Amino acid sequence: MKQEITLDVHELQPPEPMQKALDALHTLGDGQYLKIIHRMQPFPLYDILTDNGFKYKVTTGKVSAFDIYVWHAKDKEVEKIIKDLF
Amino acid sequence: MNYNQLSIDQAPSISTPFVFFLTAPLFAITAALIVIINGAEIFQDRWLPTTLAITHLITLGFITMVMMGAIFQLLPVMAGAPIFKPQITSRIIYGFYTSGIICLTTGFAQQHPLLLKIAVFCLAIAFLTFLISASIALIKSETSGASVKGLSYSIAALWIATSLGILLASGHAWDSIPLLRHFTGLHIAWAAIGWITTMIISIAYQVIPMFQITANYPKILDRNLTTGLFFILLAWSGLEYFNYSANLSFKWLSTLSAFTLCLLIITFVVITIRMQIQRKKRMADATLYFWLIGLINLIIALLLYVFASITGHNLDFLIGIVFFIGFAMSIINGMLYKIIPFLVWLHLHRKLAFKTDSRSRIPTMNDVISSRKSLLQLVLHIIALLLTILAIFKPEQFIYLAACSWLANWGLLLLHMIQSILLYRSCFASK
Repeated sequence: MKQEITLDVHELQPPEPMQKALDALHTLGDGQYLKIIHRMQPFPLYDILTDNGFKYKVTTGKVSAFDIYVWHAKDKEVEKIIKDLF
Repeated sequence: MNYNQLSIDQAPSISTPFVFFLTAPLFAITAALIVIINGAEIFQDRWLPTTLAITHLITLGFITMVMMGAIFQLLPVMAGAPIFKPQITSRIIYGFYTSGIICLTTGFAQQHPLLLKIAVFCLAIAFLTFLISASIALIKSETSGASVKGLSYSIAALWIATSLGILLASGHAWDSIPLLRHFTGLHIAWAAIGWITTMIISIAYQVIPMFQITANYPKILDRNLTTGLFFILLAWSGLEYFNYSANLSFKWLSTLSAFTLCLLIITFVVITIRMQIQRKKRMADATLYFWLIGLINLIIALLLYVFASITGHNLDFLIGIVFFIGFAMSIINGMLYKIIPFLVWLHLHRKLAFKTDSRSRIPTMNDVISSRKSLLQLVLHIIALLLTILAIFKPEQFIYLAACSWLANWGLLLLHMIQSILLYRSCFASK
């Protein structure tokens, strides 16, 4: 099972980026995190993530403006991996 | 660079912007009814009490009403900067704002000083609350960029437009306060260019490339345009004030700055239309056409202003209608057909996206308001706009047709909004 699931939405028209991110999050297993490549900070998505037991971290992206890392809040192992990444 | 996790649990509920959106067509419908009652006489003079009432029902009741509601949603989405306690703040603003508009327009129409005094009080509280809240949110925002910068300038311009408006309305309401009618031009300029146009430009920076899949705006334009507009407007205002108060002869300089403003805005419009024509995906929805109609009307309004300034013709009504209805209302109307389905879709996802039994019930944006529905309203909007322009030249023949077509148009917009809310509620009811 791949640890990182990458999702590039930076060229999609709203609301597709959020739709695709939510679809991907439904399949996110333990020990996995989602990396979203986005042209802007998806502030409305952050609300949904916080309300539904996810954590996220935003960094400057290489492909587009932002990389957003999302994982299950209870998954401390992945949280440590994300911390080690930066 | 790492970004702090932003706490935006103060993001507004769906009812916060929707209350503003649902009220806007009601004021516009009231304006159309007043036109039907008064007929062609509204075009006799822009200072007529009824004409002032209609103007403010459109500018405050529709245009600014929607823009205020949108700001509550836009600040968290675009700037990551929610307004403090949005539910309570928006209710205070909404209560005073709607009461203020009702008193102001009735006060104008009936020439009733007491109503105008209440209006000044209510509108001052509403605008102050709104402006302070929005300004604080923008100052605290960690997000930079052309749109946020533009929004900041448009809020700054609204501070000035509001101050001038309150000063003018006070002149109508209190005998002891002089009616400084020569400030009307400044009031209109700060409201029309500083507030409305600058905010629409800021929104365009985000939504045109995003929703219409065009290239991005040229950097030189999105970095400098709103700053340029604000400071040229400031310079023009100073010149206009000194021309009047000190009787100085800087007329040519103030005309030059006004024409520069027009030229900058026309450049923006031409670039936007070019981007839309060259867009990557050849999709066309009602919002795209509303934008195109709005932008073309903006160019026409500015060219008419330049023509009127050079030749001395009085084109106030034509310029006002082409600008406020043809440009501002068209774009706002078009944006509502994107914002409303998006908000319904977004808030349903926020509440139901991770509930397995409910997820399948979330409608798509097209299910909320279909393209067919928005295209029908677009057609009505175009017909009403053309009839209104004809009514300026042949009031007796066209004024009632124009007013009735606006009634139908805004009635349909209101119906689409109500249907969206009902659909939103039904997703929770059908558990």
